[in-house]
Amino acid sequence: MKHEITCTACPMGCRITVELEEAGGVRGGAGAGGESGVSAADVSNARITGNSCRRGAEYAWEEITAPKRVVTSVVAVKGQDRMLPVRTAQPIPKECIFAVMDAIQRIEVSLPVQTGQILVSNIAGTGVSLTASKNMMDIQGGFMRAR
Amino acid sequence: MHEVNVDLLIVGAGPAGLAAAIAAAEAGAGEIVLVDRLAELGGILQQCIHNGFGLRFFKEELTGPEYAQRFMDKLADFPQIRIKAETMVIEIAPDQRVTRVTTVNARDGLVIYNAAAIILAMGCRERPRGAINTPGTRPAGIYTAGSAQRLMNVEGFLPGRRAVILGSGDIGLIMARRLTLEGIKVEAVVELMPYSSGLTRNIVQCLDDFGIPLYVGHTVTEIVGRDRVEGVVVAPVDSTRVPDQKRAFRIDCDTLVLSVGLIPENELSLQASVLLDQATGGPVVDSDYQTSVPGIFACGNVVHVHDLVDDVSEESIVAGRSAAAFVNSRRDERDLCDRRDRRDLCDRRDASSALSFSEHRPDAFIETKAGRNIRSIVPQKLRRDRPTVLYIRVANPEQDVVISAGGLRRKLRQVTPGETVRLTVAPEHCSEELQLTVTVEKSEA
Ligand SMILES: Cc1cc2nc3c(=O)[nH]c(=O)nc-3n(C[C@H](O)[C@H](O)[C@H](O)COP(=O)(O)OP(=O)(O)OC[C@H]3O[C@@H](n4cnc5c(N)ncnc54)[C@H](O)[C@@H]3O)c2cc1C
Ligand code: SF4
Repeated sequence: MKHEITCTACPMGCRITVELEEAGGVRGGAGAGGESGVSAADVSNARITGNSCRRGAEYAWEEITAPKRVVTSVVAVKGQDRMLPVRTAQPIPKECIFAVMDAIQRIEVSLPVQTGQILVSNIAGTGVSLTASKNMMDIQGGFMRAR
Repeated sequence: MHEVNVDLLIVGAGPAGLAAAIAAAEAGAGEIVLVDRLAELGGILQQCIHNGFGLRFFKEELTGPEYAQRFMDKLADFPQIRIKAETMVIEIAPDQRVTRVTTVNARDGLVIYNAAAIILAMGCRERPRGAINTPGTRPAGIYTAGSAQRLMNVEGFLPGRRAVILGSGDIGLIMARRLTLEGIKVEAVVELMPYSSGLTRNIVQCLDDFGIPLYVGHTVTEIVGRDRVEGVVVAPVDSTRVPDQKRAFRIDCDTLVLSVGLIPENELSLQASVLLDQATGGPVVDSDYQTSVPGIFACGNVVHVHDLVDDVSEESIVAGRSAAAFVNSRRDERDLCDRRDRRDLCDRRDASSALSFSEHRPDAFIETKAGRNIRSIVPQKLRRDRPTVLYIRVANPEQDVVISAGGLRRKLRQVTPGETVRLTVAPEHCSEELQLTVTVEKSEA
C-alpha cells in the first residue's frame, strides 16, 4: 500500500510517500489501539521517502496509522451572551472529531471558569478531557472593570 | 475634560500591547497606561479559538485565548500598568517634549494624556468587500472572515448553512474548518493566486481532513441572490488574473466569507505624521521599533501583518524596552534641567538612544532595501551597534533558494509569501554602506 502525505511537523511541508509491505500495514493498524507512539522498528519496516528529517518519518507514520487532532470550539455559558472557548487537552483520534463536537454542542457551563479547568473528563469516550481556554468571571467585563 | 501626565501610553491591548507593556514595566518605564477600545484584553486572539499559537515563544501549542491569558496573568505583577478598557484613542498629536493622546470613554468622557512616549499597537483591520470589487447584488450573507469568526466564536451565532470562502490565507482556511465543525457545509475555498498563501499545516488540517475543495487560480465573479446569497459564480483566471467567463460555474450557497487580506490600522499614525512604508502599510521603524516621530514606537500588526503571534510578542518586547529606555533618558534630561535650571542642557539631544532615526545623522542607521523577490522588510532602519531580527516577506513562492542580507547568507528549501523569513543580522554582516539589500536568489547547488 502506498500513501502520500504532506508533512506538517514544520513549515517545510515535505511531500512524503509511505509504502507499506503487507505485514507492516497489518501490524501498524493493529497496534494503533496501544497508542504508544511510533517505535523505531515500525518506521524501519515501512519505506518512507520524501521526508527531509526523522520527525517527518514519525509524523507520516502516525498520520497513516493513528492520525490525531486537537479539537477547539466554544460552549454556551449560563446567563451570559458570550461563548466560552474550549479545547481538548490533548489530540484525539481524527475519526472522533465529530463525536467530540457533538458532545461539545450539548454543554453549558456556569461561571466562574479558569483557563485549563476541566469541563468534561473523557469527552466522547476518547479518554481526553475538555478544558476551558480562558478565564471568565461572573461579572460583565469581569477582569477589566475590577481594575 | 482633564489632562494627565504619564510616562508611557500604549494604544491597543492585543498581544503586541500586552507584551510591550510588561517589557516596559520590567525595564522601569514608570507609570504606564494601557488603552483598549474593547472591554476585554487580548485583541484579535480572543476570537482565534484554534490552537497553533506559541510554539516558539512558549514551546507549547496554545489556543489564542490561552496565549493572551499568559500575558494577562503577568499583568497582575505590575501595579504601575493602569488599564483603560472600553476606551478609544481618538487623536495623537506629537507636542514639544511629549505626545498628546486624546481618549474617550463613557465614564470619564474626554481625557488627554501627556505621555513622554507612546507605543502604537492598534493591530490591523480586514479589507472590506468594497476592496475586492465583486460585481452582483448586495444580499445578506456576506461576511468578512474576521466578523464571521467573531460571530461564531464570541457571540455564538452561525452565519448560514452552506458557505463558500474567498481567499485561502490562514484565516480563510481556519474558518473553513470552523464552519465545518459547526455543521455548515463549506462547498469550496476559492483562491485568486495559483497557490494558497496559508501554512501547509492548515491546508492539511482544515481542508484535506474534511475533503473541502480548494480552487486555486479562481475567483468569485458574481454573487447571486436578492435578499440573501443564493450562490456565487466562480471562474478560473489567467496569468494576468482576468477571469475566463466561458469556463465559469455556479456554486449554490447562502453564505460568502471573504478572507481577502488585512491592512495595518494606521489612521492614528498618519494623524501623528508618522512615516509609513508603502510595502507594509505600517510605520517605518528602526531596530528599537521607534518610528520617524521621536517618542512614538510601534509593534505588532500595526507595523506589518504577522502570520505568527510569537513574532508579535518578540518584537513588542523590543518596542517596550526601547520605549522604557526613551522615557528614562528623557527623565534624566528633565531632572538635569530642573536641578540646574539650564535650558541649553534640556535641548541637548545627542548621545542618547532616545533619538529617532529621523533626528540622527543620516549615517547612523543602515536602511534595508528590498532586492530580488522581496516584498517587504521590517525593521527598515538598522542600528549599527547591535544585531537586529529582520522579518522578511517574499513576493513569490520559490524553491531551493539562498536568501542574503549583506554578508549573511542562508539556504532555504522554499520560500512563500505566506511565511515570513526571520533572519538576524549582526553588525559584522553590514559594510560601511548606508544600505543593506536583502535578496532571494536561486541556489546553484
Ligand atoms: C483570524 C486570525 C487567525 C490567526 N491565526 C494565528 C495562528 O494560528 N497562529 C499565530 O501565531 N498567529 C495567528 N494570527 C496572528 C496573530 O493573532 C496576530 O498577528 C496578533 O493577534 C496581532 O496582535 P496585535 O496586538 O498587533 O493586534 P490585535 O490583536 O488586533 O490587537 C489590537 C488591539 O488594539 C485595539 N485598538 C485598535 N485601535 C484602537 C484605538 N483607536 N483605541 C483603542 N484601542 C484600539 C483593538 O481593540 C485591539 O484589541 C491570526 C490572526 C487572525 C486575524
Ligand atoms: S519532513 Fe522534516 S523538514 Fe520536512 S516538513 Fe516534515 S519535519 Fe519539516
